[in-house]
This record gives sequence, structure tokens and C-alpha cells, in this order.
Amino acid sequence: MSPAPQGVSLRGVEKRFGNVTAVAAVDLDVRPGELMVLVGPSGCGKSTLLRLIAGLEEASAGEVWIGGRHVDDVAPGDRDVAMVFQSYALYPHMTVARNLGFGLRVRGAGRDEITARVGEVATVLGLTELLSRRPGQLSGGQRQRVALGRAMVRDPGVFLFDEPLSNLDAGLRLRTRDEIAALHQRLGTTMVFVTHDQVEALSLGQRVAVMDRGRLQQVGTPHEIYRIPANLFVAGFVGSPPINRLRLARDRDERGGRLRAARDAGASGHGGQGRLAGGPFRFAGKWPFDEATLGVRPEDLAVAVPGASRADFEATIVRVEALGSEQRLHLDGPADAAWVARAPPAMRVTSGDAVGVSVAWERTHLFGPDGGRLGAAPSPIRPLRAS
Amino acid sequence: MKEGGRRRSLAAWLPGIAAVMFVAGVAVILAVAVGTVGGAREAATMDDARVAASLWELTGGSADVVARLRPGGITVEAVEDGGAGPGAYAYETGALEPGVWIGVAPRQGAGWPASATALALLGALFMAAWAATRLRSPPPRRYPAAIALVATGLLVMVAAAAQRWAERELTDLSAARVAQGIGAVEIAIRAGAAPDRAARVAGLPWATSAALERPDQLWTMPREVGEAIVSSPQSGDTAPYTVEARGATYHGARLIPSPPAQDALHLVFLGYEETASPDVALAASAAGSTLLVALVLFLLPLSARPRTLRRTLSAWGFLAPAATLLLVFTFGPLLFSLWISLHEWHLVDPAHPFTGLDNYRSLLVDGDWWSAIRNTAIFTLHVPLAMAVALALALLTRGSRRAARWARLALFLPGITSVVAIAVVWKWLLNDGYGLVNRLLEGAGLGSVPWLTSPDTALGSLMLISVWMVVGYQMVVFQAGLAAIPRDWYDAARVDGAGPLQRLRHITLPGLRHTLFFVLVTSVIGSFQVFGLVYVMTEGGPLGATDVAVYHIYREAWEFLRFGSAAAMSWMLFAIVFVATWLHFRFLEGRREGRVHA
Amino acid sequence: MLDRAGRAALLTLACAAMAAPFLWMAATSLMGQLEVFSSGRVLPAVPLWSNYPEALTAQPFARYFLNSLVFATAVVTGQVATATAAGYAFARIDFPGRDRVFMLFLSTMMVPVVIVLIPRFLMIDAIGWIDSYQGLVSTELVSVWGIFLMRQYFRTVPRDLEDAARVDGAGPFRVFWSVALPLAKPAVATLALFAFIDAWKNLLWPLLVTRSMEMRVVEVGIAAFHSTYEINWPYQMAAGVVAVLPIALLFLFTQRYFVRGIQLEGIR
Repeated sequence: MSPAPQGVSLRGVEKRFGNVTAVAAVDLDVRPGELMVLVGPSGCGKSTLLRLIAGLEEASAGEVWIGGRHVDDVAPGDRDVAMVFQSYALYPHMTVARNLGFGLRVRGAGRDEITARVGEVATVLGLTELLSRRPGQLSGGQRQRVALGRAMVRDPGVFLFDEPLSNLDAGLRLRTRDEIAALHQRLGTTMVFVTHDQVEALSLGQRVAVMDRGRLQQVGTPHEIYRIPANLFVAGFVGSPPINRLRLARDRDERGGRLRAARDAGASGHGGQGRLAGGPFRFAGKWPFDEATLGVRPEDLAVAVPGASRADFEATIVRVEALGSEQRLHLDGPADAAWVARAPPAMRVTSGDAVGVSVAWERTHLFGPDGGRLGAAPSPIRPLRAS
Repeated sequence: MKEGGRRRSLAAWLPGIAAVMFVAGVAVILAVAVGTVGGAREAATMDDARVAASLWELTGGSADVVARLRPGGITVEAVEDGGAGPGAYAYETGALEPGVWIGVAPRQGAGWPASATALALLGALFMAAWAATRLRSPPPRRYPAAIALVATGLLVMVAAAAQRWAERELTDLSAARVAQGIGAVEIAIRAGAAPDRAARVAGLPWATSAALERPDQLWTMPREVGEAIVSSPQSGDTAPYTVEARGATYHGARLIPSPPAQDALHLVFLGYEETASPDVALAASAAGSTLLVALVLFLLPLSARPRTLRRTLSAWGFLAPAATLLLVFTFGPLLFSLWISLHEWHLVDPAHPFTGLDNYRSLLVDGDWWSAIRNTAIFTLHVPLAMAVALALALLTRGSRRAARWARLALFLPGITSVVAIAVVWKWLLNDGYGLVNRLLEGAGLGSVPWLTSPDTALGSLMLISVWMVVGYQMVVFQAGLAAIPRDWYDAARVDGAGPLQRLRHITLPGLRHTLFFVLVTSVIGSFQVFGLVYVMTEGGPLGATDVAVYHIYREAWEFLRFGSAAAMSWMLFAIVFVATWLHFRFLEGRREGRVHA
Repeated sequence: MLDRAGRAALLTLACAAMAAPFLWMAATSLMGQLEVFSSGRVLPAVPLWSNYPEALTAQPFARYFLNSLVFATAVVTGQVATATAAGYAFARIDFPGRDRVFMLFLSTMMVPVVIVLIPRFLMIDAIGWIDSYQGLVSTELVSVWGIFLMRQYFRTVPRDLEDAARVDGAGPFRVFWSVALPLAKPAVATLALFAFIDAWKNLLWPLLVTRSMEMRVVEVGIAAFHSTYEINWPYQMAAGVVAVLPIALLFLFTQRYFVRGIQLEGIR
């Protein structure tokens, strides 16, 4: 029934509105049949990128390819894409049936064919009873389905979703999310899904593309995005509660002087062996810079009664959020560093308790001054114990 | 930036297309020029033939006389098979015996204007060279504009050259016609016909014997032209004269019959041509081709972005009906009216001599016109009065939806219904002896007022009626404006202890400023154009007291048929409206800016 | 400032003053020819209904009405067609020079109509359309005010709807025709109403381009009637009532469109 799914590829795509660059030099390949989620904070350019794929905006530079075809000069309707809008954009003056059939009608399909196809899709989405109503008479969820159906009717090579769930209430949103995932499995069509909700992105996407300020930050599977964030932004954007950050600065050596640059360092004069320090930690390594950031996810901090096991540092519990399935502990560590840690629901802690905190070092991240990930942080050479 | 190969080739082709279109524009200009001359030549030949036929009839079939008229040009022969010689124009008239043909040889033309052709080639070369440079590297941004300017200049030069050539040709033709006409009239008079009959025979506009004092004639020779011909030194018995007067070249002739007897000075008027004004067709075609080139140059930079190009084309597709109508019925007429205002232009007189700014100059000292302007200005003073009433009504109906609706129903009707019917009603209401208003006044012991019959009160009466007409509309606008002022502001002011008048002064009026300005400007523009009331109620009277600008223009154009001067009046009115609007904007916007910055 | 009763009284007075001429017109239209001159008479002693048929057959008013109807209908059709298309292009299609062209269009609203009357007349005369429907109608088919109104309205239509139609494969005209235009019905109604009334009220242009009695519109007809039956006030008033009535009824049933039009016009 469905045509072969189409791949989408963007090559150096840029979009400027006057002086504002909404999308900057994006290279992105969506594989045929893939469900790709574009995620990022509002204003990051993800919707613009989607509209560029749809052809509703024209790229200021770069090329858009769909299914091996260069489509920059192709009108939206001829790109073999269908789109579901955040506002659903149902034609208020047409019945549901006419809304669904509009795309076919525009393409000159016969009346019988339209009726058959619309009926088919309506059955799949459970809209059969609503076919003669107008959008104004539908509930939010029903409208959402009609919008989805309108996209499905045409059997497009690529589905584009522009935050289609953001106008639904929480429960309906979860259900619809599952339905879209199921739909993707059944149709096997390429889908590009835009959202600002990172949970939605990770739960739905086969691969996720994270954007910020018009630039693509990272493309990868949800696992990769979460476990190996390419940079500080991705690490901070994905995950709730957000990743713990600790600023590290070049450490002064015992005598108080700066480390001299090694002889083999670059022209910048920095580099060579050195130490970075922050909070209770010092790290030795080859640091060609003066600053870095340590990132530790809340679940990678293990909290225990002080002295019960080997801890990396000691902290005081400031606040406890009991969420039922887990507890979130807000900690005040050495050097006034604030931490958030996850703890099992059964653990008995209250605010004011002193605890020992140990870090799963192999799952931490060290980010350079430009925000790029350097790798997992090596174990600190001299962890400072809280005195 | 990467570009698809297909796009690049398209972009490369377009300059070539532009060059072709440029050449096409030039060709259109030349074709029109040649066509004009060709048409005139054709007409002249037809005239020759017709005159020849008439003379043939008049002289009783004397081929000699006819042939003498224009040696080499006309041959009369009896041919049975209907064919004339090669290059001859055959003309048959019903009056002639069957089988007699008059052959009229077509005149020789001077061929194509060489200079224009050269210019066109130069332009095409230039454009091609530009296309070549464009192939290699993308041009700097201002390049297309410069090219557009150059192309426009070239086109204008071509048009001018073509026009000069066409003019010379036409002058040659009319000189030939003068000679032919004189000959014809001479022969006709000799055959015993009266000059006017002779003129008709010769297919000429007019001929008379020494009588210049007939201004009542539709086809009049301007007095100064006739006088110039009479007073000019005689250069032979039958000399053609061309007299330049009032921007036109008049061809006339004076001829003395061969037995120079009595007072028989015959004047022949052979028509005129407007030499001072460029040929309209030429100007139009030049403008057309310039537009074409400009269009191509405008689309050229877009050709690299096919979707923008497509969008632009579809936008102009949507605009086309409105734009065409506006062009033809508004922008075109605006220029045309400016053009008319520079001429002495009568509806029935086909001669439209160019008079420059004479119309405007005489308007400056025309007391009636200025009194009309003054009346219009005074009439406009009803606008603030109406606005005050409307604002008061809007404030009164505020807060009650029902009151607002009923007030709208009662007040709005005068503004939208038939102006003529309203004018008639008011004329009856304000009737001196029997009108309701005066009857009420008399009943109250106040004595009647000559509302429309005294120059002192007539304009005031019209202003009052006008207030009555516009107040409903203005009230609705104010109601909308008031609804847009946030209720919170009033509450805040009340909390701050502001009284009703202070709230009006500090919240309502500032909040309505945009609305007030909008109403003021549109109402003033509207009141400058008042016509219907005056036309029906007072016809400008009594004693010109209600003669407003548009009515004055209407009378000038459609009663006195002086279109030129009426057009000049309209333009002056436009200038006044424009300046008034501009001053409004300056004054009010300026004050607003000042307040914001203060 | 004023209490409720005071306001109501003031308003009633104002409305009565505004409505009085119409009532007076109706009253006079039913009086005898000489009755109107007898002082003290405000209402007819006996309503003389025969004034109406007599006045309306004294001149071919039926024909005038037909002409007005043809004229106004053609103008409405033309203005709606040109203004919706142009307004849509100005509101929604992004093309180079759009704002400048729009300003150029708008600037014509400042031009007094008299200025173009003479050239228009000469042009219509040159084509030979004087005293014909074509001549009457052709110059009035575009309204810049209407273009402005439609542009304002189209800008309030959600853009997503048009984008959806584009993705559905609709070309520019299809988007306009199937999506934007149906959503602009209220504005179209307002425009049509104002266009109709402006055409109905138009006196100057029909006065210039029509010559024969058969081509006169109502406005011109009443003006001519007025100068023919100068002192027969009841006849004139009867004609006036008949001229006012259609517009009054139209207004009664379409009031909200007028108000909306004025509100749309006022916002910038």
C-alpha cells in the first residue's frame, strides 16, 4: 500500500531572516523508514528546519534532498511529504471528510478513489463517525487525529510532525505518542518529528537530532544522546533532573605558581601536563586549556551513610523530593557545590543528614571550554575528603 | 554557495532574452513610427484619389485638369479590365462612369530612420556584452539598476529619433497636401463653386473667402493663424503657409483668383498638426517597451531563485486585474489629466493647442475659482463640529450595548443612503415659506431664516446638513475606538482620584488619538470632494456662495466644456488636499513624537 | 457625568432629530400638492397613496432602479474579485517590491475623484461606451479601500492553514480559492455591502457618462426628477422615499457588517 519510504538529506542548509540566522549550516541525513526527532529549546530553529524540508521556507544556502531528488526548486506539494501542524491547521470550512480528501482532490483524484481512501484512513483512526462534522465541532484529540489522517491519506514518502502533541493534555499526549510510534511501525514511513520535549524525543525517536541556536548539536540514538552527549548543551538539555555540572579551573601547584607550559605545547603556550580542580576533585592529564566542566548525571551519584563505604566526598542533604518511584536529593557539597542525586525510594534520608557521595567515574563527562565532550573524566588523583 | 547546473544555465540565458526584448521594444517603437507615417501616407493617397474623382466629376470628365493637379501623381485613364499599372493606387467612385479609373501613384517614402536603427543595434550589442560578462561572474548588486537606466535611456533616444523622423515625414506629407489642396480649391472655384463647397470637394476642413469673422463655426481657424496668413508677405499667387501658433503647426493657404478681382481673397484652412506635443502612440510604445525592459531586468536577478520567481509571477497574477484597472483608470488618467491641463482643450474642438502653464496662470487670478476654494475650505470646518457631536454621542452610548445599537440604527442611515434624496428632503425642510424648520421657528416666534436663499446662510446650511450626514459614521468609528481602550486604565485613574473630565482629558482623548486622526483625515479628504448636496440644493448659488471646488470643476468641464482649465483646477485641488493631509500628518504625528520623547 | 435617565433622554432627542427628516419626507409624500403649502399641516389629512404610482410613472423609475441594480451588482462583483485577489497577494505572497507597490496603491486614496473624471470620460468616449453599461461600470471595478480591507483581513487568517494546503499540493490559486477566500467570507460581505452602497450613491460619474433617460440610475433620475417637478413636493418626496427605502432595509439587516467594516478600516 505504502510507497517506498524516502530518505531526507540536508546539505549545508542555512536559513536567514534578515540579519537573524535561524538555521546555520545543517547537515543531516534521515534514513528511509526512520523516525527522526528534532529536539531543542524554543527558537532553536527546529521548526524552521522542518519547514525547510516541507518547502514552506526556502533555504538561503545549501540543498535539500528527498528520496534522492534535489527539491529546492520543488513546490511543497510536489515533494511527496505530508505535514501535521502544531495547530493542526484543519480547514474550518470543510467537513472532516473534505479535510481528509483535500490533498487527493487537489491532485485530481477521482471521487470514488477519494471516498475509498478517506474511508480507509478514517477506519484506521476511528474517525468514521465524525466524517460529516466540521473541525469546530471536534475535541482536541479528535482534531489531532484528523490532522494525522490528512497526512496519511496521501501515502507520502515522508511524514513531518511539527510539535503535534503540544496542544493535548498530558494523558492524551502519552497515548497519542504511543499511537504515532505504532503508526510508524505499521507504515514503515520516514518520519521527522519536531518537539521541544526531551522525554518525548527520547521515547519516540529512533534517532534524535538535538539543535540549539540554529545549529545541529548532536545526532544519535536516544541512548547515545543520553550516554555520550556530544557537548555540554546536549548533556544539559537531555535528562531530568538535569546533569550536575562542576566548573574546573587549572589548578595551582603546591607552591602556588602556575604550571609552566610544556615544551611540546602549541604556539598558544598552553597545554602539557597539568591539573584541573573544582569542588573536591583534582584531575591530572594533558589539558591544553585553563577551564573545563565536569558533568555527572544524578543517577551516577551514589549516596550512602557517611563512613559506610568509600565515598568521593561528603555532603549535606538540603532537600528531599519524594517522587514515589525514586527520591531526588539536593546536596550541598564541599566548596559550596550543589548536587542533585537520585536515590532509591526506600532509602531513609531527611534533610540535614550528612551523607557520603561516590561517583561512577566511568559514566561521567568532561567538557572542554568550548563545551565539547572530551570523554569520561579520569578518576581524580586527589579526591578531597570532606573534613 | 552551490548552484544546480540547470539553474545556472537559466540565469545565463536571461540576459540574452533581455537583449532580445530590448530589441523587440525598439522594433515596436520603429514599427509604430513607420506605421503612423504609412497610415498618413495611405490616407493622403486616398484623399488624392477622392479629390481627383470629385474634380473629375466637377469638371465634367476632363482628364487634363485632373492630371494637372498633381503632375506625376495622378493619372486618369480608361481601363476596361480594372487594373491599374504597377505601383498605382486605383480608386473607383460611384460617380464615375464605369470603366474609368483614376490611378494615384503612392508617394515615395524616406525609408527607415537610420539613426534609430543604429541606436537599437548599439543597445542590443551593449546588452549582449553585459550578458557575456554576467556569464563569467555574478555582477555586483547595483549593476542591474544601472543597466536598467542605460536601457531606458537608449529606448528614449530611439523613441525620440523615431519620432523626429516620423514628424519630418508627416510634415512633408502635409506640405504636399497643402499644394494639392490649393490646386483643388483653385480649380473648383474656377469651375464656379463657392469656397466652402470647393473645400468640401477637395476634402479639406475649411475654406472661405476673406471672412475671418465667423467664430461661431465649429471648425474655426484660430484668429491669430488667419491673421498671420493674411498679413504675411505674399509669395506668389497660391502660396502655402505654415503658421506656428499655440504649440501647433497650422497649414493654410491664401490664394488670389487668377483674374484678381474684387475682394476675393480666399483663405484655405488645411488643418493642423500638433508639433509641440510628441506623438501619443510613440510615447505610449516607448513607455511600454521601457516597462518591458524594466520588467525583464527586475525578474533577471530572481531567475537564479526559481521559487522566488514563481512566487513573484503568481503574486502579479493575483494583482493583475486590480493593477491593470488602476493603471488604466487611475494612474493613466492622472497623467492624462496633467497633460490636458497643459492644453487649451475643448470637448468639441479637435484642436488641442499646447499652452504650457497658461491654465494655471489664469487660475491664479481667477476670483471665482478662489472663491470656490474658499467656500470649500469653510465647508470643511463642519468636520470638527461633526467630530465633536459624534464623540459626544459615542460617549453617551458607551457602556450600553443596546443604546449603541439603537443609536447606530437611527444615526447611520443618513450617511449611507441616497445623497440626492437627502438633498431634496432638506431642500424642502429648509424651504423659505413652507419648510418645516421655518414653520417651527415661526411657531416659536423666532421669525424665519432664508436658509438656502441668502448668500450669508446657504453655506452654513449645507454644513449643518453635512454634519447630520456624517455624524453616524463617525460615531461608529469612535465607538470602535473607545472599545479598544482598556477598562483597567479607567479603573486605575479612578483609584488615582481622577474625575470624569480628567479621565476624558487624560485617558479617553489620548487613547482615541489614532482614531481621531483617522477620522479627521478621511473626513477632510471627503469634504473637499462634496458635490451632490450642492448640485441638487443650490447649484452653487445664491451668488456663488455655495460654489465649491468640485462643483466648480464640474461646471467648467461639462457646462463650459473647458476641459483644459478644469483639469488644471483638479490638479490644484489635489495639491491642496495633498498639502492639507501632509500638514495634518506632520502636525499631529510630530506632536505625538514630541510628547513621547518629552 | 450624567445619570442614566439624562443620557437616555439626550440620546432619544438626538436620534429623533436625526430621524426627523426621514419622517417628514414620508409624511409629505402622502400629502396633496397644495396641502403641503397650507401652514400648520405636518401630517397629511388623508394619506394620498396615489402620489406614489403617479410620481413613479412620471419618469421611468423602474428603469432607473434596474440600471442602478445592474450598475451596483457589476461594481460589487468586480470590486470583490479584484480586491480579494490583490488583497491576498499583498497579505500573503512575499515578492520583491511588495510594500512599495502597496503604498503606491494606497496613495491613490488621497486623489480626489474629479481629477480623473475628465480623462476617464474622454477614454470611455473614445471607445464609444458613453451611455452604456460598460462605460458606467468599467471605471468602478477596483477599490483600493477594498484591497486594503481584504489585506487586513487576510493577515488575520492563520498561516498554518495555507501552509497545510500547500503541503497538500495546492498551487497559489488553489490555496487562495479553496482555503483563504472561504475563510474571508465576513470581510467579503462587508466589502460587497460597502461597494453596493457606494455604487448606489454614486451621482457624479453616472451623471457624466449617461445621456439617455433609459440609462439613468436612480440618483441621476431623482436629481432630474427634482429639476422637472420643482414645486411638486409630494411627488419628489415619494420618489425620495422609494430611493431611500432599499438602502434602509439593507442596512437594517446587515448592520453588523457595516460596523465590522468600519472597525477593520480603523485598525492599522
